Amino acid sequence: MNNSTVANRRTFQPWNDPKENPFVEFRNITKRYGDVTAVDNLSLSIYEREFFALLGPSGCGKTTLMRMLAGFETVSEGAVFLAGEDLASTPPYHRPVNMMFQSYALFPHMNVEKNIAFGLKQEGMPTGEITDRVAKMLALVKMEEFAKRKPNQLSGGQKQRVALARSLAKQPKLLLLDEPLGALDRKLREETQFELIDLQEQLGITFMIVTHDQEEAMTVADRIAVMDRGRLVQVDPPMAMYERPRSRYVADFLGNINLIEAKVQNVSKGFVRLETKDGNSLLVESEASVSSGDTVWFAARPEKLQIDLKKPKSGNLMSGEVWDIAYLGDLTIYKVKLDSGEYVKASVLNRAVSSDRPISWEDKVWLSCPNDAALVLTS
Amino acid sequence: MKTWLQYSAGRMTIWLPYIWLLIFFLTPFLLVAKLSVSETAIAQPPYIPAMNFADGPFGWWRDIKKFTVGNYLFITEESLYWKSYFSSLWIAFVSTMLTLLIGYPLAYGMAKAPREWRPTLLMLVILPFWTSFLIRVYAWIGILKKEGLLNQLLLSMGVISDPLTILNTNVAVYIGIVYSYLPFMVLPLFANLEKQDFTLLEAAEDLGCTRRQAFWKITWPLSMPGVIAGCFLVFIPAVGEFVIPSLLGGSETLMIGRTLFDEFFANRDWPISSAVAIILLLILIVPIMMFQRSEARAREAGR
Repeated sequence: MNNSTVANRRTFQPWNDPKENPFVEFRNITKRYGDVTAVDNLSLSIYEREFFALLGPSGCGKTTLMRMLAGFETVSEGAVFLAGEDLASTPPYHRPVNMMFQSYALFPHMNVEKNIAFGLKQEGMPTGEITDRVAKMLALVKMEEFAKRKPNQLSGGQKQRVALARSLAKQPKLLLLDEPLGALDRKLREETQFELIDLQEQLGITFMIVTHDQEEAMTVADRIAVMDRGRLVQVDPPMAMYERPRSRYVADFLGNINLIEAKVQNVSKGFVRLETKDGNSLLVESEASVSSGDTVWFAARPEKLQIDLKKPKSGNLMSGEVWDIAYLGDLTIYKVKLDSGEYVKASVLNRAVSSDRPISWEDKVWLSCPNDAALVLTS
Repeated sequence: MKTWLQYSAGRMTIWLPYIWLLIFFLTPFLLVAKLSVSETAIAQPPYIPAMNFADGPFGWWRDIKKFTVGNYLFITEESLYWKSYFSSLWIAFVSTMLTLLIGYPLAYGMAKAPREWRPTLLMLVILPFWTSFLIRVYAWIGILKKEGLLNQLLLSMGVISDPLTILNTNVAVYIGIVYSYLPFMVLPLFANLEKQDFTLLEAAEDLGCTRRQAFWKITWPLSMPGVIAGCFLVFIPAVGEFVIPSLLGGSETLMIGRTLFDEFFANRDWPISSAVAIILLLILIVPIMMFQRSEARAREAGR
């Protein structure tokens, strides 16, 4: 990777540029199976060279959405556009889109080479060019030695690479990845995620990935769309999605968050003062449109909460008793029972090498967080 | 420690099928083989035994030296036998291809049918087995004869003006074999096609295949083990088929099963008919071994 691509990546925000035309556009898409609505009046734009992730629990419609793009599902209402063209009448085999399947779908009766060459032969590419392209693809996924193997002689990770090479061989304008790393073990998955990012930058192809793994989505994607029951809940870059979720659903789906019900006392100049049920007063920096008397949620991520034995001088304070401790190696997570009876998690990075625990079970502790580290969520 | 009894009991489970084969396969085969090297005689039974069990080991050797190959030589000289063999193989081959042609779409349709329908469809394929094979072939006489159901139907519809002669021709034999052996083609094909991964076809489409191309490039080659199994299961018994040609076939229908029957019961030439049977067995060993090898290979690939 050279510096210019790094710089490009830093400023890469076509979704904020009104002059930019979307590369893929879902316009008011609805998909019904009998009485079940899988996708509900959804609109979404994806831009060229973007790495876009569709994230959601199983059955939220994310796979259906992707399969519409590949042409395996028809649209009940609305239209899908690719590079400005309506895809409705284009069959799957004519779309400049390739898909990598969750099960890899490698052809078991063909060896690795033939699998990769399949799409090229189909479009009638001359044999010499096919050989070159296949060799290039094998090198790209570092599978040169396995060219003559059959799929059943490969490990899960190797199959994944072949499937990726096969879907990239035709040099599609858009690559669809359906849970591409679901079958890999954790270590391999993490490595492969970074390889995917490199690959996408190297090739300059638009990638769209479907996943239910929030870490995977955060790692690879430029933007993430969180889906729930056929609707888009929020579309944002990973950092915005994590730090500024707009609903409890997103906040909870992406990482861990503590949610405490509270009433708005007053709102002034970008600050909201809340009062919890047990009378604790909290001040949060927030642009949320709320007025006094509203019931809202005070939301703070575990790593944003500071845990102390002595009462800190400032910040939003809550007191409680250590109920449970989970030592994860890099982090220690304290589950604290507040005076109100609610449970709150706080995580502490274990920076020092130590064998004793400054804070232990049943200790009386104080939790604090600065005004700008918490959120006010209304829905 | 294992007792002798436990040990031999363990061995027994392995040997049991071999003992079964020894009693019910090898022994009759040896009897027929012995018959085939004996000489015909006007006697009861109508041959001079080439070997006597009571002769003892030395006597057996003497007997073996007196074995005659005359029956086999006679078969090679007489064109009737060769024609029967070739005609049987040809009829079996054509019937197998016809069965495949009808059975494949049938099995494909069954495999693609909604999951809850499949047991019913499978039942419909197996259902004819509940009636005796002989009766089912007999029923075809009623359908195919001059004043039979088929001719009446075609006449009433105005498709033909004169009744067709189907019964007692080779066409009737093909119909009979295809009908009788269709389940043996459909079942292995269905088992194969049902297991196939549907996403492979989507992947093929994604890579630029139309539905039809995807079928020929993916489904068809992957269904080869089923096709081969089905073809052998139809071909092997069809070569030696006796009931169908004798009930539905005519005088022109030359099949080795019928020749064998005539030789045995009409001519009462037991040694010749035994030799015919032995040669038939030798001819069939080739496709049977090919079948077993392909099965072994399919098992290997499936692992």
